[in-house]
Amino acid sequence: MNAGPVADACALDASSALRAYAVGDISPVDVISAHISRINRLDGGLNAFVNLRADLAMAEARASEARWHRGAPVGPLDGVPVSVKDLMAVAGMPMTAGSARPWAVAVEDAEAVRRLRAAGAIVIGTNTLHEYAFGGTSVNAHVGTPRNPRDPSRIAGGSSGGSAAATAAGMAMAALGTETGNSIRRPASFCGVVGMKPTFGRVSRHGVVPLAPSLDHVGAFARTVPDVALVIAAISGHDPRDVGSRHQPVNGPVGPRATDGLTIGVPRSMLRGIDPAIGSAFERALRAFAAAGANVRDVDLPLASRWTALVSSIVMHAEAATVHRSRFTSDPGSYGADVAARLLSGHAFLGFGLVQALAMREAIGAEVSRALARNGGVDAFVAPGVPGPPPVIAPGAFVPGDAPWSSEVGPFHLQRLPSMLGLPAGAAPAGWSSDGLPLPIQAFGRHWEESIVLSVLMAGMESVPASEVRGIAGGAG
Amino acid sequence: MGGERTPRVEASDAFGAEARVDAVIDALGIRGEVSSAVIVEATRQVAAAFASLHDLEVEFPTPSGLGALPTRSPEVSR
Repeated sequence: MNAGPVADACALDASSALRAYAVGDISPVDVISAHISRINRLDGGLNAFVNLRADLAMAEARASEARWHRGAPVGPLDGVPVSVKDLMAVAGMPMTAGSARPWAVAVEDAEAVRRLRAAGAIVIGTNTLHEYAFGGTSVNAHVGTPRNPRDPSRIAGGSSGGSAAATAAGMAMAALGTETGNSIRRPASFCGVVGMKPTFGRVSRHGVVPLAPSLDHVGAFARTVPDVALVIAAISGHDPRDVGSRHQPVNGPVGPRATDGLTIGVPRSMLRGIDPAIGSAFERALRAFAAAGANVRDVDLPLASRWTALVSSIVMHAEAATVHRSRFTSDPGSYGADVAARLLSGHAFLGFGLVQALAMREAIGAEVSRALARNGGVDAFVAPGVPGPPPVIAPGAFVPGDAPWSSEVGPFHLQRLPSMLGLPAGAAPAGWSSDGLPLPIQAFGRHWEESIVLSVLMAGMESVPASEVRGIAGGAG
Repeated sequence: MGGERTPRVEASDAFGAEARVDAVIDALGIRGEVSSAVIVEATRQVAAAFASLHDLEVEFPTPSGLGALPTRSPEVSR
């Protein structure tokens, strides 16, 4: 992508901006200034941001510009404007977690934010979300509901709705989010951007408001696969302050690679009730994978296809009930009705329900591990990103494809499977409908093999005809 | 999140859901502090979840069956 004039700075992806910084075609000051102007112009209607740090971001942009002039960028993201889901601590910023009870101003960054800023990224603000990240719509009475930039009458999805919306609307080049059930892939799918949560343990949750500790992941949004890979690489690494953190190479293989020679599995039995346009784009992507040399085959996952959503929901609700016990009992009236009901049900699952669910999680994990075996298994699974388009905004709006208590075979189990098992997973647009809504795919693969997942997503994006591709939402400038 | 009613669960007290939620409210000491709408929704979720769990039989490992953590196959579990 050509850097072009400053007026197009918000349409640049991060990799293009970094190349332009290196040759002096554009400066971080230009880019940060353009993004703040765009936020001021668009966010009144989109509500993707809770708080901005415009002055600080401009000061950091001037420092970044000086470094680029010296030919000495501080890291691989120097001068890239990013935003952060408002449940991750950003030093000097208040934090709401989307709730009615804000935390005190943070004195230090969450570890993922610290790593992102150490790589040179400039945090321009914090993003709206579902209350406590405990829901799929981001409909939020406390901090406002982010609207989908592709169609502002519709939800951005959740729980990381503001992060996805900011990225889609060119108000940030990348954003951090979290996923416990489907909270990165779903909003990425609804907003038409790339979203990835890496393997459980690759990115520290220190400084992040927890929801369900055995399921919580930190991940990233961007508009291209290489940009997501850049951000994931920057925020990865062991952190002893997160008991879930694992020792894996910081500079591990998280970049995309070719799909030639990969075996890609399709959980066909689960793909019932898919929106025809989304299904059509998915099948086009499958044909592109095969044409590029991948071996595409259907794979049955009988346990996962019935029990994943139920098991994931019981574990999630029970853990969230435990995490929130003190806060909830001290002021239950401060919680939204949907979240309060989930916390109550979570307490009821502690005991018999939770033990049953944990046992079944192990059985599902074994089934999926066999399917992903290096000898004779598939390298990754691919499926539609969501079963249907984003719903119109309404209180308590039901999210298609997310029926957490049903054991019927259907696509909603795919929404929860990778996060329940800690597998790397992502979503990306593999087409666009005639009315401008994204037609997403999702992919997930073996632990620590983010590169394969990213390569599948990239191939899916490249299967879209150039005439169909959409840029940032909200117009240029 | 959201939720879909499991069709087979019609009564809100199926699988003791009302009693389970009632006990939680007392245990947490928040009776009168949550709305009836919250209680109804929590009860619906618990009833739906336990209805589905009713179909799920997990066999835990025993000394005579080490390594076993199979579930009843989906084909015969309903």
